[in-house]
Amino acid sequence: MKKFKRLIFIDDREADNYYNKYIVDNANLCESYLFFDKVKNAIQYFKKNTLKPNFIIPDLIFLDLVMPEMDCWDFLKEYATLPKMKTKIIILTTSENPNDIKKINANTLIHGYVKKPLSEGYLKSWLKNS
Amino acid sequence: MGLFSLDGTIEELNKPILENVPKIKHIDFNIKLWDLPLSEGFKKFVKQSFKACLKKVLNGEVYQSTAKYALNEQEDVYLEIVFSPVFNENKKVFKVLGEARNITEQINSKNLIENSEKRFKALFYNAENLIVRLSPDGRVIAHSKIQIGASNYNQVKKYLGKNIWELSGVFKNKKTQTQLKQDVEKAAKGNLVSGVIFSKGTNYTSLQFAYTLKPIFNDNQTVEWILGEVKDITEYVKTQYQLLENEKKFRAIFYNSENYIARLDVKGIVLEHSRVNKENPNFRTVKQYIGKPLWEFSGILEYPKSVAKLKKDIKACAAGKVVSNQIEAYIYKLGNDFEYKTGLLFYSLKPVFNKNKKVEWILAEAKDITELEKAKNELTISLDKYQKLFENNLVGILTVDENFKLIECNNAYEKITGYSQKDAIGFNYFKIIDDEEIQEAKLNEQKIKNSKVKSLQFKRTFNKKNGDKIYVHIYFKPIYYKNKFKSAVVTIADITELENKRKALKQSEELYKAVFEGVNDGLYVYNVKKNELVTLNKKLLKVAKVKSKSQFLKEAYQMYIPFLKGKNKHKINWIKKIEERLKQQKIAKFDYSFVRKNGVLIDISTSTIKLSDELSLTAVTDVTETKKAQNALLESEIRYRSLFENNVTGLALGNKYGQLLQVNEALCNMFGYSKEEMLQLKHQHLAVKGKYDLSYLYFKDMIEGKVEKISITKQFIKKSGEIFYAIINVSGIYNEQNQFLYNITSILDISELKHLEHELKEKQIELADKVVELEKYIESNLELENFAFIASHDLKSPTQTIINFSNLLAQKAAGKLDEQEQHFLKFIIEGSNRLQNTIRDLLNFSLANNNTLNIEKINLKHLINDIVKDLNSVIIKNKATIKIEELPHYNWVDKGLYKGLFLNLISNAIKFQKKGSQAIVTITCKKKQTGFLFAVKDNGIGIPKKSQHKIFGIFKRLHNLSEYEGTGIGLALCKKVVEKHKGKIWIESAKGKGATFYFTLPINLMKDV
Repeated sequence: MKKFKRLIFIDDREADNYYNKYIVDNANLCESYLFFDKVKNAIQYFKKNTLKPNFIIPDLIFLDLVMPEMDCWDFLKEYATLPKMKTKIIILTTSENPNDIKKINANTLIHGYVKKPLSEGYLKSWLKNS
Repeated sequence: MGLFSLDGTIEELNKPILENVPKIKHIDFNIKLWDLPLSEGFKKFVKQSFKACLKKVLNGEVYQSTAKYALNEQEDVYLEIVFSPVFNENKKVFKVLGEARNITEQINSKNLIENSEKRFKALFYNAENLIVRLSPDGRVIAHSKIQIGASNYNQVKKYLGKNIWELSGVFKNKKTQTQLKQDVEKAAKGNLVSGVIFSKGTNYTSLQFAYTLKPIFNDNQTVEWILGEVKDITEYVKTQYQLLENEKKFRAIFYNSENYIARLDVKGIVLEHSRVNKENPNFRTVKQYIGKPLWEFSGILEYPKSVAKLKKDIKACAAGKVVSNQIEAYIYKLGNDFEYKTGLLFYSLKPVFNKNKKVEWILAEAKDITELEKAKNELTISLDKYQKLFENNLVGILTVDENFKLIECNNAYEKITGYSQKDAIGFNYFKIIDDEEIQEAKLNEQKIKNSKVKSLQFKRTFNKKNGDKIYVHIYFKPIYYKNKFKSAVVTIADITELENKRKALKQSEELYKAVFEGVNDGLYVYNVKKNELVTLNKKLLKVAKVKSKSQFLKEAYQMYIPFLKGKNKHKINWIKKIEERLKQQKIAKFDYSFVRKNGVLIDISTSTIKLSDELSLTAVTDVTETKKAQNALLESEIRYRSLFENNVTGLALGNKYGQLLQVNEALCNMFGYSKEEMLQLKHQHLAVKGKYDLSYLYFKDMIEGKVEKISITKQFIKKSGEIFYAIINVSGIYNEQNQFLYNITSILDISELKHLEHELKEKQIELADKVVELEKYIESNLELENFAFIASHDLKSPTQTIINFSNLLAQKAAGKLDEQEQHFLKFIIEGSNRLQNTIRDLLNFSLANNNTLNIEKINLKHLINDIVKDLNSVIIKNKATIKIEELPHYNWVDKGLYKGLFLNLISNAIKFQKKGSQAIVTITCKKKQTGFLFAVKDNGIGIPKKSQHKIFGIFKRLHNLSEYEGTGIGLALCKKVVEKHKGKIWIESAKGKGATFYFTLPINLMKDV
């Protein structure tokens, strides 16, 4: 079966990260993954590594919506400054706030959004469709 | 013998008469018998005898008469006269034969025998001594009746016929018996013997007797009997001994006396004298005076007056008088040099008599009394002075003895204290002063007794006899004699009045000083008579804009004291002007202007008052600014007046008691009162006092300066009783010291407005459709709030269920789970706990959002202390320090909300710290004009500027949960609470430099709630 080359998760919550990791590990659908609990750290990673030859372009970035210090919108602002990649950004959130959803839909950088919790089925369906 | 005719004429006198009476030798015989030149007494006697004899003689009888008369000056003569008749031839008596015989010898011898017999008997029987007649062999023939009353008198009688040595008291002692026997034998042989024997007296006391045995011879020169005389000499011997002792003592005194003592004979010749002044170089020469008269002593001889006095006194003394006197003399003084000085010598002369009561010699004693006399004079003077002082003094004087007991006191003492001398004698003078001060008095007593104290002075209260308290000054002067405290003179003066006056004086002086220096005017005092400046105050220097007095006198005096040092004419004019004014008015006021060097026009106003004939006080005020201000004020006054009077709004000027001082027409019209009626009223009379009307609290705050302006909508009542709504604006007017002076109140009748409000509402309903959207929004907002409230309530219990069971699972299944499974469980527990926290905070937040505020009077210090207690475990865990600085005594707040506010701020301050560092949280409050400014400061990680705007938003967090726990509601709640209380909250911070949260709490919160 086809596998993701790399998945990136950006979420401040330790419990969510742990859960996501467990799902991904269990599903065995991914060659490598990175977890960031702070937007700042993720941006730093990209800025440092995107131009490096051995940089693995992530297939998907799962981005949490509400985060302290810098949130998803802050990330997206910075992400826009990076070299363009085929990477898809998916908002992974608990929020059902219609305003948020409106905003998500309006943002061209975002590919889509999925409600927590992340499921193995979602990842599989993504691989199937692509 | 003589022959006399019957008429007494002498016819013949015999030879013996002529011999015995020498003056009759050449007698003319034709004289009468009683005309003989004999003594008058005798003549009288003869004449009487002759006339008496005639009766007998004419009858032929013989007349005999005896008379004693003085024959000459020395001795009396006894004469016997016998007249016999001589018959003629006719046996008739024709002549008288007179015969005179001297019978003096006869009478004398007869008297002698009679007397000696009597005398002997008296002597014999009444003699003090025992007298006995003894036969030559020693037997008692007779003895005197001694001790008739004595018990042994009868026994003594029995001794007659017994031997003298057998008398009781004698016979018992053999030695005495032998001695007496031998002596009687000696006497019997014709010797006069005397001796002493010891015997026992009637009381068996030891007595000493002296006896003499005298042989009495008969005509044959043999001893017929012996006269024995025994004398008790016990006392005599004793006296003799004493005399000897006295003599010794006398000698000792005589030679060792400090005074000069001399023994003089009756003529004043020195027989012996005491050894005065051994150190006297003239001591040897003094010796030489023995045998010379006393007045020839050197030192006396130089003063003729003294010599004369001494001579006279010695003479008087020789006559038996005791004399004492004082004379001037050169007196030797002991000292570094041997010198003589004129001094006073006191002497006394005592006659010493011998047994015959004749002056035998004179005892002279002399003493140098120069110093004594001086001292005496001084003493007399001082005594006199003292007496006068003592009695006439206005100051109470008393003397006390060594035990501090009052001996005497003067009248003034009684006047002052009310205690008479009778009351006060025996008082301890200290005790009478004040019971409370006895302790101190005792200390003083000790001090005085233990050491020499020159004097003590003190002031204290004194209880008068009638109980009044007075203030007295006491001067205690102890008197020491030979280093021992003997007595003291104490003066006591009533200084109550004085003290009061002194206090008053001091006060008035201080007052004067305070006024002189404290007034805002420049002042100077000028002596008109002497034409000189007496003094000036510092303000005057300020007014004149100079730094020192000397600079003032150099540069500025001409402007401010124009007549000082000015030209004479100028000066006189000024002073005259002022004096003339002062005659008419109490204060002479002058205003004048001058141009300062820098060209500025200065206006000066002076006021002068007369202090005395010489002194005048002038106040100088620089009125330049005032004048300007006056003009400005006048303008503004006019403007204000028209504004006040013509304003359509009701205006009133009131004082802090709520009294209306000024009102305008609009106000009067509004309430329906006249202006006069209005001014009688107070604020309170115009307002309808509602149940929750707290406006008086704001007014109080305004008076205290906490609030400058109040704006309230209230109900008021018109004169007619009609009630209306009005907006009232009150503004405080304060002076420079921020003290409340007046308040200006403007009242706007908004009944109309209220009416319009109703109309508006109606129109609003009409417009409702157009604002549906808005209403919906508001509704949804309200729903949201309600939802949060309800949801958080409903969420509470299921959350609790999750927590409970996951905890139970963790306890029960822990052993069975692998590491990953345990991790899962951990997340469940953490998550559900967090959920619970979030629900709690959310609930609080929605409560804060609730419209009803429950305002109470809260002591914030207590509130914060409670919070600190709640946070105790956290504080200890983080080693945090909470400092609570000065907070207001109370605030009007919602207790629950403020607790949440402080709880969140303090726990945040503790929480947001770098790991390992200790939090220091400081809570302060400052009072501002509009309210209180609180600050909660920490030394934590701080918040970067760019994130600061986010922090008060709900669910806004700046950190990951793994770094700092939190729900993101705390600060949002804080903001809500502060804003609910009409305050503002903000933060001042920088990353890493701590954070300070500020929030305000308005003072006039009440009115809007």
